[in-house]
Amino acid sequence: MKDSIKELLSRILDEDISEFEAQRILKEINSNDELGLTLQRYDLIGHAMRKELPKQFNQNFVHNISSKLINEEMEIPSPGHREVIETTNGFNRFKTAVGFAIAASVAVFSFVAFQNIFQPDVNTTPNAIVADQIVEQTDIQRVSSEDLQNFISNPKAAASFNSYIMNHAEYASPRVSVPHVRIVGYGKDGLEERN
Amino acid sequence: MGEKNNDKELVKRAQKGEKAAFDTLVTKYHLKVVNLVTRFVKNADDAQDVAQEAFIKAYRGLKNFRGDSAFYTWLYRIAINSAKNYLVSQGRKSPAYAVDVEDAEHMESATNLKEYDTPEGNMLTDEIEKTVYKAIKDLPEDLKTAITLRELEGMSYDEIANVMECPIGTVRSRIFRAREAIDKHLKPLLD
Repeated sequence: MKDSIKELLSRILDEDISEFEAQRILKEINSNDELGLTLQRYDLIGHAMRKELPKQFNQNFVHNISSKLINEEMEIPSPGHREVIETTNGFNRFKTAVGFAIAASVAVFSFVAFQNIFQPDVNTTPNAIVADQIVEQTDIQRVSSEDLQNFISNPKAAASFNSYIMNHAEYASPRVSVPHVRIVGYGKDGLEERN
Repeated sequence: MGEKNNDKELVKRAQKGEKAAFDTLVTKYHLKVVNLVTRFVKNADDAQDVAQEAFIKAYRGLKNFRGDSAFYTWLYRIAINSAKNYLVSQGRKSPAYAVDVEDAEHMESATNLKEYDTPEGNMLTDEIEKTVYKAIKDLPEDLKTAITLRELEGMSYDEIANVMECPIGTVRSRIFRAREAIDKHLKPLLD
């Protein structure tokens, strides 16, 4: 038996061994039973020096345990076990995703509800519905462009129509665009200019 | 290279099913565990059985050991529970005094064992002690100092290197050679 190997045995008792050395010595112990017994005697020396020997010393203690466990394989965390862990992790990820999805849904719902509360859909307001019905039922008379031009050029008629539109805008059908545009700007002299 | 690291490596390998790693852990701790159990279980044979049972339980539970505590702390807890269960199964109460796991490691077992001594047991133990002390007496001074500082004073290799003013490699070598020299006397006694 090489001294270098036995020195590692000595050092394993004193917690002075690296991972690599532990790997090496365990490999040796696996293939040589005598090393296990030597390790046991090295340990015995320390206990004897400290007068800590049990009153009954059983040399076969390790061997007896080994024999009892020989047919008992260590339940190494199996792939199945890992799967459980992974599944658990997956489930956690799923839970997170579901959480985000729920939060997003709530946010979207709140946003839509907010819009509905503060900006009601004109299509669904009672007035708009009535206006739609009126537009559909009314026999629309088409006017010639000449008549229209005459109407627009008449300031009094234009102001009257504009006032009407402004006062009845809420009844306007969403499908009908307001036929009058009022453009307000400022001229070079800084006075309000109306078109 | 602390104890935790050392045991961690052995535990890791034992958890992977490497029997030699578990055997090494048993070798390393079995005398301490037997001493601990003997504080509860007075009969020496029963103490051996309970200690064995503790190691078997430890092996079976090793897969659940996550290394949150040191291996020996975990093992000692199992041993104490095994001893207490044994006493309950025997219809006896466990000792009124509580044994702390950390303290248990440092127990002066010999002083507590006097009442459980058996002549046969004493004979071998005495023989081993005499042989070891005689072998130490015959050691060269540097080996004797190194092994004494390690085993009786509990110094680490670094500390011994400081005290003996030599490289740590020399300390390793001296302690190994001291053990080897003592073992030459001890081996025939146990064969």
